[in-house]
Amino acid sequence: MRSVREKTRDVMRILEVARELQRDESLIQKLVASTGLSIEGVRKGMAEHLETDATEDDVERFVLKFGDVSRVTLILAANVFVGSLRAIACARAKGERVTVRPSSREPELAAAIVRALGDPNIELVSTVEVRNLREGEIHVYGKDETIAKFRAAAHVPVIGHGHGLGVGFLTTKTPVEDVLAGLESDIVAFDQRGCLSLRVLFVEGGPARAEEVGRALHRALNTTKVPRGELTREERAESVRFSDTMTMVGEVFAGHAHVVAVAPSDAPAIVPPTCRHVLVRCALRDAEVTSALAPIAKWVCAFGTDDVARARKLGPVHARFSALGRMQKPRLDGYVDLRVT
Amino acid sequence: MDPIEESNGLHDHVQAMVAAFEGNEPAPADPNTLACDIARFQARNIPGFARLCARHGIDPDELVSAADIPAVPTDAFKLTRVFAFEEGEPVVFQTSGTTVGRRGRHIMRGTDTYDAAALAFGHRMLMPPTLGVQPPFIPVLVLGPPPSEQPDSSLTHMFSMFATQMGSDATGQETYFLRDGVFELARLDERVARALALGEDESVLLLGTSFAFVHFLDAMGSDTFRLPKGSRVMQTGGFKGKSREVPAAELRREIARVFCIEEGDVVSEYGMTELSSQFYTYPGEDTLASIFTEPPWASVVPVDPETLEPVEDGKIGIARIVDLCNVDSAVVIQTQDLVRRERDGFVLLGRMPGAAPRGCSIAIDEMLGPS
Repeated sequence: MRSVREKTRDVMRILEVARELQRDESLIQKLVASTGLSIEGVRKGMAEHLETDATEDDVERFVLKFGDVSRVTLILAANVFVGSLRAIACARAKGERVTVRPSSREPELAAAIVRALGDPNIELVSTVEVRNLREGEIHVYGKDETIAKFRAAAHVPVIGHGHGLGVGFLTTKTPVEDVLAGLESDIVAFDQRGCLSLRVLFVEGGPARAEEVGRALHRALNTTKVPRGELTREERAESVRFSDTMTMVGEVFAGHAHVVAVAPSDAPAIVPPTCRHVLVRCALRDAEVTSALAPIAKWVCAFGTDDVARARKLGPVHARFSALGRMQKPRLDGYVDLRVT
Repeated sequence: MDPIEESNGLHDHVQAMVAAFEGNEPAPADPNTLACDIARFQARNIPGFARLCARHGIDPDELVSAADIPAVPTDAFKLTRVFAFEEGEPVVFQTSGTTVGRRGRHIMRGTDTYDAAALAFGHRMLMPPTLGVQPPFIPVLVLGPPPSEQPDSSLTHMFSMFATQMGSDATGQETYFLRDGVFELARLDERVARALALGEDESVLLLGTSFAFVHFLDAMGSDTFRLPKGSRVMQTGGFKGKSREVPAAELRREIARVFCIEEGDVVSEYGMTELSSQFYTYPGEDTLASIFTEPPWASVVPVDPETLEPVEDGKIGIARIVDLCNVDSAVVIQTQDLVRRERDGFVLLGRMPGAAPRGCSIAIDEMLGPS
């Protein structure tokens, strides 16, 4: 069994390797090809959202959150590309040995980290036969359905990290202009493909303020310096469906690569598709936020706000609460998904 | 013009079209023109629809073709009031499924147009051809709950109307065979035995949802439940996660087997809460078993999910449905059901899947679960 010091060293080494990869132009090109994000989108992810800035003290606190198992088999079924760094770090903090199976859709960063590490205790595989695993535990990042399938087949414990989304709450104490850059960043990063991505924004106040925020967000997204990546045909179809539906409900501000829909306070918090689609919904009272959140609360992984103390009373306990603009920049403090116990 | 008067006038036109169909007479109005008139009325009275027209660059006053009317996505019925009148909800039908805690709501001023259209086309497609056009007809049995258990279901309303208007005199006990979620097989058996005892000509019409039939089939196993000769079965709807899923052709075959009827006497219906009209597969002809046909007042066009333009002949698209009976709500709706035109009708090919997640962000389909 490794000491805390040894574990900290192992995780620090992973972060060090990731820092080197941040500047690896050939990897960035590969990530553009595998993710479909724009090159600016990949650069933003690598520069701003790859969690490499943790100090040794941070990492020591991080490793203390994990117990010890002989082996962690890490299955990355679906995650944003930078997510593989924290997933490997968590697996390594816990496992004496780690087997990494990267996402078939986005294998590049996980593979690059493992190769660059050259750690004999971390191996890279392309397939995993779950039912044959007899030691340690399995960490799976993917849909609930995928996790359930692995749980059904496995003979060892399965730690599942399901899909999720981010919501925001902007109170009346902050003018929208003060948080616009942060909102833009929370939406633009990874084209909203992350479980921490902002997709529904509650705005304290009446319909006029929600519309003002919607318009401001529309302007910000129109002038963003990070172009959206390519959409699949299905994603384009979802965009059309969302736009037409929300036009029936309220105001829709559609740009060339985003849609901001403003809904009245009696509309449910319908979750928009990914790829820069946002629902802005006004809330005259805090109770309107909690009741609108109730049907989707179990999927809320991130809660961005200008008033964290107040938001904690409104959002689900398992959400990560942060300032707007920090939703997709969580500290390296354990599993990214706080729903995992 | 007063919206109520305008609505009444449009309902009259649609009902005249239905009456002409019943009497095998030519349609008294051009469906295309009537669709445009209804769309103009809706744009004047439903702010969301006016915005949708503007978004698509359509001036309702300039409409000359139903093909240019922007389609209202069915999702909108879950999120907002799609109704030409701000006050009142005389009749509300609700969807069974929910989206983020909300059921879809189709508000109507009344059910006269709905009832007339459903009866006219239902009679044409469901009644054995040997029967006349005047009542009394045949026993109508429902493998579903009585209206008192589902008062806001359009399907239950339609079943109830078929039972009272198309069926022979019968009590509720003699008509509905699912109560509080439990099949009342003994009563159904007794009812069918009575019909059989009346002789060869006493056929019945059995109505039910797909998942009700699957549960019935599961309960019967390899046994059979003989219906009188000439009987017909109408099955409708998806499985909604309420039973195991069975492919359409297999379900039809199994229904025919268990009830000892011809496969051609198993008729499928396609409808939804957001519509006032229904579509049926052609009865009696095995070769047309999967092709749905439309009444003159409704039509289904496969469109490209991205451009919403009609797809080429023979290609698959999502169903854009023009329904003239939706006078006060949405004369054209956009579904996510995959369809292809075939012969004079269309085939249903399931539901368009949502975009696959390309990260850990939850996809809409994943949140909705089985539909």
